[in-house]
Amino acid sequence: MASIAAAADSSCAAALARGRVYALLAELLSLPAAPPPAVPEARASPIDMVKALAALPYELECPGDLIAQQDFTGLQSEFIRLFELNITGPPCVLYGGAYTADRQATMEELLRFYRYFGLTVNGACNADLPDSMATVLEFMQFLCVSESMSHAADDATSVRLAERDILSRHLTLWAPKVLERIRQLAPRPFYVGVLVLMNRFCLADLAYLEY
Amino acid sequence: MSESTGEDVLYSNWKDIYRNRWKWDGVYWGSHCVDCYPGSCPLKVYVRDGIVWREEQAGSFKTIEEGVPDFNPMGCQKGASWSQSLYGPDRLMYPLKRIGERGEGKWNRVTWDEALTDIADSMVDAITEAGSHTIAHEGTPEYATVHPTSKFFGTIGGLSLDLHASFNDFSIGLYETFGKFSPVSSADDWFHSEIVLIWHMNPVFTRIPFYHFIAEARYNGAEVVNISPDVNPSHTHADYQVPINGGTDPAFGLSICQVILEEGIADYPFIREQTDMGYLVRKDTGKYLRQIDVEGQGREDQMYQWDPDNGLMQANRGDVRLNGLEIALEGTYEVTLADGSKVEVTPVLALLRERLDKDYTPEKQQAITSVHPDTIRMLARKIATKRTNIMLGYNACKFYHGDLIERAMCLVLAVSGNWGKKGTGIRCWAAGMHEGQFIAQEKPGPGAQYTEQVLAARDAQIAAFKALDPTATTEIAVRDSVRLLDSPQAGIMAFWWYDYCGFKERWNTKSWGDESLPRTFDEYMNEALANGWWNRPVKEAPRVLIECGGNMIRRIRGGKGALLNTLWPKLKTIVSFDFRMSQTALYADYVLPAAQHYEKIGFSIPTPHVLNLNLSDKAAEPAGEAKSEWDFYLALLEKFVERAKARGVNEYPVIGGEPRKVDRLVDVFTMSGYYRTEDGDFDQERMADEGIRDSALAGTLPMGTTLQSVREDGPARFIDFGVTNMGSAQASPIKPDETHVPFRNHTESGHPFPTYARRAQFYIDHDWFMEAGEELPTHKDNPMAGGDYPLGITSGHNRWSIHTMNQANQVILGTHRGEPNVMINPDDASARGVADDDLIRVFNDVGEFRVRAKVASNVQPGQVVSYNGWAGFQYPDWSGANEAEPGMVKWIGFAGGYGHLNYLPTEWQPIPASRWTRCDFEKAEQA
Repeated sequence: MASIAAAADSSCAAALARGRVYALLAELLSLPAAPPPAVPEARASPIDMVKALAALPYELECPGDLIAQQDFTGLQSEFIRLFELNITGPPCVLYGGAYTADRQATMEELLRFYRYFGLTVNGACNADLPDSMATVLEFMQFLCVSESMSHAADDATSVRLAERDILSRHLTLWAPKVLERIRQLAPRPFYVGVLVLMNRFCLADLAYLEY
Repeated sequence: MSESTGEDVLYSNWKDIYRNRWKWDGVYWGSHCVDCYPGSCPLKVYVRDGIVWREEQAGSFKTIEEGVPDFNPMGCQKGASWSQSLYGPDRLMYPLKRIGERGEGKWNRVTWDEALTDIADSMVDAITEAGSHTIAHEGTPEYATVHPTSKFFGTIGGLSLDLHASFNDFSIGLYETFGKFSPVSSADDWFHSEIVLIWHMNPVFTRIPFYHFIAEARYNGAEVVNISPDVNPSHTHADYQVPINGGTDPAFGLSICQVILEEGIADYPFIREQTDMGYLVRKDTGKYLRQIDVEGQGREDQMYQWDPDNGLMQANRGDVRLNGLEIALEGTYEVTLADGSKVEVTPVLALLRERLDKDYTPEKQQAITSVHPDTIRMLARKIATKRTNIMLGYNACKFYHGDLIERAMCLVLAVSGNWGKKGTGIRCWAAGMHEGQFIAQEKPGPGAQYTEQVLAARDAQIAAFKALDPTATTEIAVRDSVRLLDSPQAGIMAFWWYDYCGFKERWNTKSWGDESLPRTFDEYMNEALANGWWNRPVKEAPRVLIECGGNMIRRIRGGKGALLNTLWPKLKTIVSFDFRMSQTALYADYVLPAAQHYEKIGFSIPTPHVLNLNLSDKAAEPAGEAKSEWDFYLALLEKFVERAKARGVNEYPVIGGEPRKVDRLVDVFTMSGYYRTEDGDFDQERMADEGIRDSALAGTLPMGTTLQSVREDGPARFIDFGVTNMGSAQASPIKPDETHVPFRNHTESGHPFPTYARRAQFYIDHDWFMEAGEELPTHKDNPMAGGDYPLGITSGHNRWSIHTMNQANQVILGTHRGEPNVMINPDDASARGVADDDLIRVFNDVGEFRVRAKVASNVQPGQVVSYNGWAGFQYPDWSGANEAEPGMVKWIGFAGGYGHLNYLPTEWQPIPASRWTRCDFEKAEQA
């Protein structure tokens, strides 16, 4: 707790930088547009990610698989194949609860987190199911931004504690399992890179928050 | 995400978020309207933040009959975990368009507008190049789907394939006997039974919400007899297990009848009134003695009985009652014909007894069935003296000679006087009663006055048919009018299979069918067509297939092997509107996301089993971009109109109907906008409310019943069966304080049966039946369908899914092996070097599939049990068990020109067989 409180004094820029990585990961783990010859500027790209990682308050290497991705043709079809409708077996679903023993309990806890911090989800939209990876990553971005905007140290500490718990109780538990699953589906390197990065980043960020 | 009012307390650790009590935003009535029959389980559905979190059995039923257990708490593990499927990882969320080859598994997301535009253009192509009837859909009984689908296809003049032939839950033997196949008692009536014969059914698996009535009947003194080749789960609580050889049920049933008749313990008054067994048959021709024989003119279907005091008497076609007259059931009599010649005649029962005594004594049947003669005699004596109920599933009808199996069952009930009384009868399935649902979508305008117009027209139509034949009851008039009005017969699936799916060769493989027949399959079918028994109005191959509630590749006997190289190439566009990737969707061009239970207003299939209108309310918005069926079809119709007009198609002809004016189509679909919301969507609320109010006006629901009242009060009990085919077929009044048992009108009021003979008909003197030696119920061995192999595949519904629904439910998957398997006898396994959980290849001349072996000593040697419900894509190569099913059609389904043996939608028509298909298996390479 003491280390968390001390860290709360860190710069607004660090929180925003961390939030930027969460936001980019959320975007990369959402259905990409089709059929773009290249990723439009408005969307996350490996270059964006490299820049965002460089701004972090700690060092984190961007996986080569992610950086190497230049051809985005067919990426949407690949996303659907890997994460939604795999034809050789169950897909690598991007719902964290699916990697736990009790998905409903996971969804409930996440919903409670969101409501605690003044947010609700829209159950009618799949991306906003409480345990959607993108939703949870966006929530982490929201917390980071909230942290950066906190005027009082107690407020920032409060938010950082929540960040830590989301990471320790959810994201860091799911991320390695998702990575393990996708490797069974003969994926294109790009998405392996995204998930390797998510795994690394969640662990690094948790370590950052705990010390 | 969006912001709401958050907590004003600083976060310290995760326990903080649990300090506020969990609250529901809403609790709704729910049920599972698709696929689950009888279903009709009322549940409460709990919602928060637009997400359905859980459901539970409502347990809200009142006691119907004093002294009879109530229905509570209806439900099963599948319904109680449905919300897990709602947000399952396999849920489709947005429209998909195929970008690779069909079945290659490559998809891109498209907008609804893009998808609908492409589909609408393909529809316009089909209409301009070949006709609207080349736009087809597969029939479905799914209650939330059937109405919008039929309305859409009726509006555009598309082709609706007959639902029943495609999945064959048509109890053909019941139909041949009673002229209807759907006698269904309410499930609580099972409690009144004294003998329960579980025969081609496995209620412990398949009737979880209702099984307790059997258990309670047993506590009430009933005895339960489980008749099956395998020691299936329903034997666990049975008093007797009868391990019969597969498909030998006719011999078993006929032997019971032989004992009952030989020992003189039959219910002869019942036989005389209810059946044709007192009808006279000419000994010279083997045909019924007819009015045209005796008088030289008159009705061909007017038959005779023998009054011991007064001799020959015409059977009363309008009333079965004899008022104590003991017409002859035995003996030979001489009759003078119109031409002066004399012939000998004898009652049907005499012919029957002759056959039973010759071929079906308990000792003789043992050689066929392996059932000990003492068991036959013991059961016969019990059945003859006790209220007996045959628990029949939709299994016997899927045997090649399923009609013979069921005719023998009916005969058991007939000789023992076991129908039309509480605790008796035989079951199949029936829907109906909610007539307002049809009226509300077909009447010319909104409100009660248009409903009254429809009802008046309907009454007039029935009256007209009764005037044509004063002996006809309402039930008979309804059936006759449906036959007449559905004259185009465009949707008969047998011709679809034969013409487009390559079944011609299979059906003409003589060794796969009844080899005792003197002619080929084609000869029978061509004779039927030449006689005008069947129409075949559609000449053009289908162009567009829209699957909504169907799953053709999984349903069809033969699976991918039957369709992908035959029908599929003919189809320019294949659309699957579904909530998940089905086996058919995998091979479609467009997959469109459908709303599911709890996301739209729907009703369970209204069934005599439960007798309630059971609301499944819209508790949450559809997930992702999913649409309800009504919204999907309205959007597609609007796009079709837009594209047709843009391409200069303003009117087009329709087979068997009025030309369609494109400008009018949306008005027809929405009742000139009455069924549209201000946002332009389809107004499901209004349609549901209008339908309920119209059912009240039609007299099947209490007056005052509305959508609001069922929301407030829960399921509404029907008060009348109405005049649909299946409703009127119950031939019983609904009594508010009694269980329902069908056929009371026949036993108590003398109503004739809707058969050629106007009785429960056991003697069918149609030429084809006589040629086959099947004029009376008889036993025939199962043909070697699939080839000359030593094993026979049986099936049945499993415990864990309703067809393929729930198969991907994570909760359910955790309760079984989680992947397809077949059950095989240890000796058969050992002989082939197969151990439990080995991957095996099951094969025959039709096809093959690979599956895990479940070595199970409860399965007879020679039997392979492949439970229904696995999706094809759960097997290696996406080849499910239906790949090995030949789908033989017994030629007798093409019989016509004989009273009830004439085409009737969803009823009389050829149906495919799949049970006891021959096969073998061997150990396979691991997948």
